[in-house]
Amino acid sequence: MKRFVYADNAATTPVSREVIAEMTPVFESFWGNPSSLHAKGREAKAILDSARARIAKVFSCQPSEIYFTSCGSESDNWAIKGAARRLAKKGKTHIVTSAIEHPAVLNTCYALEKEGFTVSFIGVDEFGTVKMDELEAAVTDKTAIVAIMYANNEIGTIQPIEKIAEIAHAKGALMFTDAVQAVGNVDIDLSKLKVDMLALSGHKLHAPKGIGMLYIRKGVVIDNLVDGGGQESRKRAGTENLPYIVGLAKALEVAKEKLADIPELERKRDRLIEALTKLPYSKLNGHRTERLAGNVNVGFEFIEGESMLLWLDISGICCSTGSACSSASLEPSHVLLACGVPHEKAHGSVRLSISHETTDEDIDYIIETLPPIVEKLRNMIPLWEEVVKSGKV
Amino acid sequence: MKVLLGLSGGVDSTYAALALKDAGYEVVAAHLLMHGKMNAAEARESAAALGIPLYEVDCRDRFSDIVIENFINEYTTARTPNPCVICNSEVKFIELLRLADELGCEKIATGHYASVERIEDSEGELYAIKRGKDSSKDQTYMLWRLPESVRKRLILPLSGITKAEIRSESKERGLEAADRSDSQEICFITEGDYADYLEEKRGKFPEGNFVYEDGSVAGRHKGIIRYTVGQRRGLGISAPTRLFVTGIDKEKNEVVISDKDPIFSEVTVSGIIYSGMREPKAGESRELSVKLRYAAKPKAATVTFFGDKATVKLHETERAVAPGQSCVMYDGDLLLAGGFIDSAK
Repeated sequence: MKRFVYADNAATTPVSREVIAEMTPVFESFWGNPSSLHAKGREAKAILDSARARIAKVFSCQPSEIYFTSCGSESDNWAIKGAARRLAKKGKTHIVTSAIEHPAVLNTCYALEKEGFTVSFIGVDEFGTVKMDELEAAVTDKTAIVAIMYANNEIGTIQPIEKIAEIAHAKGALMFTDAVQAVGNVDIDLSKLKVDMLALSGHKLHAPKGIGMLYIRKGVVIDNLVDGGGQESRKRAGTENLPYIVGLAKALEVAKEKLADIPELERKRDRLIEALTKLPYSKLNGHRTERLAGNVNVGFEFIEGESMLLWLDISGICCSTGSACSSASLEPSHVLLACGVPHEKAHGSVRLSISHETTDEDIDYIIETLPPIVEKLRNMIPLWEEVVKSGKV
Repeated sequence: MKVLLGLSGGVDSTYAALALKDAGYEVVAAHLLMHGKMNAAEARESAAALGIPLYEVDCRDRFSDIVIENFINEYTTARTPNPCVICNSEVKFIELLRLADELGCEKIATGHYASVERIEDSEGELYAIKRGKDSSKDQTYMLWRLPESVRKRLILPLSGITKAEIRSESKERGLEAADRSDSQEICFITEGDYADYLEEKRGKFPEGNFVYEDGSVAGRHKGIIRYTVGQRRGLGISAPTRLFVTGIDKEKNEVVISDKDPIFSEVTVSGIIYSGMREPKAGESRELSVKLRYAAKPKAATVTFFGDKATVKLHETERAVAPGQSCVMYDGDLLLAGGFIDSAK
């Protein structure tokens, strides 16, 4: 029986009912501009302040440390460009990041290279964990900012962010983490986690697309990216997207509550991993334990990941290949290549990212549906015939 | 509108994808794996370059059961098959249609040099195959047997362009496929000739006699599958004049030869599919032009129809008319009907 299974929550998530319910009155009634001095504006301002306070509570930080942006990419751009440009004035013209960052970070770094900054791209081990010795050697007193993602979007590997922050701070560099994938999966307590900046995005946790956030620790000063009016303490111009900000606050509160269900999500993830890696010539990409609770990324040799995605789609299963990019190239995922996965194997990788909404029946359906597709596609490959003939299956 | 394109990755189908995209269609592509000599590498490259999804479909069993089976049976019964005609009508376009339905595509498309014309008449509508702009590459001969279910949903984006234009424009737009060579007629035979292939599949065919039309023996042939009516090369008989194959007698295992080029003026046809015309009353005749081989020029003829059969009287004689080949009937550039040649005299 055909089902519809959405297993691409790392790409985006549906907006939840409770978030919609929270946003609706803001659209309908509280449409004022928070900067206006009149009643309609004051009403909006109160809602804005309350949303900021609610989010601060989720992360155990100060409301004044929270800045709303349009998306995760903007937050990444602002944190890195803002810090680099500000600290360049003090002679810090070096940036440290990893080879497996999201394009929003990688391309920001390439852009800064053109402005004259030097960038060290730190490698990762086979599980996708940043090589700490390489990182430690790279950070110097010229380093303005260390930008390492909290958890990888493709393979789900969670980085030792505490340790990385220590290394950055030991050399006087700022520590920024892109936590777009991590928020909702790991408990982030900013009163304990010593990062200077943290980026997140609403649509990965059941808030709408078009809302992002940057946490900037009190005392950390970076240049603006968007100049204009005096919103967000004159740090980020643009009339606040109040309904989405309220939606984000609700989504973060719900996500925090649901941290209790993470072991259950991990159980479902592990069911999938176990079943899929039982297939011949398949291998889990990423780390077995230091891994996002919803992330499954498996490489199938002799297969084109894109092909598998299309046939899974026909069967009602939404997933993605390692690289979510739809670019016109057959270049395999930069993340898998950085993990040392050879080209041909990187091509055959598929990412299934499940959520709290994914049921055991959904997992059963994937486990039933995927193996025959692997077999069908492999049977079209002459190389596979040779493997079968030689009895290596 | 969503369209499913058959994509081999060659220059024609790749350009077809481009033309469909330019025309505003949402294009998805399918690479149909017909036999082990094919692979999807070029199709993948083209699809990636154009940013369209590519579905790889395994059609090998169906192709083998239908097309190769027919190919072998026809040759072993002393007929000369058109495997492309069988493949198009029973495998390629049928598989495309099936996947199109699954994917919710309203239309299907291929990179054939031909066009489709919708004709309205008193009985309703017809979807007819018609020659495209590039008459030197005309592929309508291979499409006569497409069922209506295919024709009515078919888009042929190369209808208004020539091969030379495609090559130059593909190059200009930086498509890697621009320089790829054209596909071959019998795609599943890549090494040796078709006779070697048949013997590999069905074992050696017995040698027999070449005989003249008066029955006298002229020499030994290497198995009837190696000969086709009209053939004049590779007979291996030393004679003062040129010799031609004029017939093949399967029962006697004889190949009939003559020093006169066999010419034919009357052909019988069966298995007719009417696509660009309604089925005429039995015994009704039409003045049409007919094509009796893929590479032959169309010849004027009087065709008398009897349901799925017809007799074709050629106004001028044609050489080398082989049973098993298609007889495709046209009115000008419009393909009206087609069938298989049963006999010729």
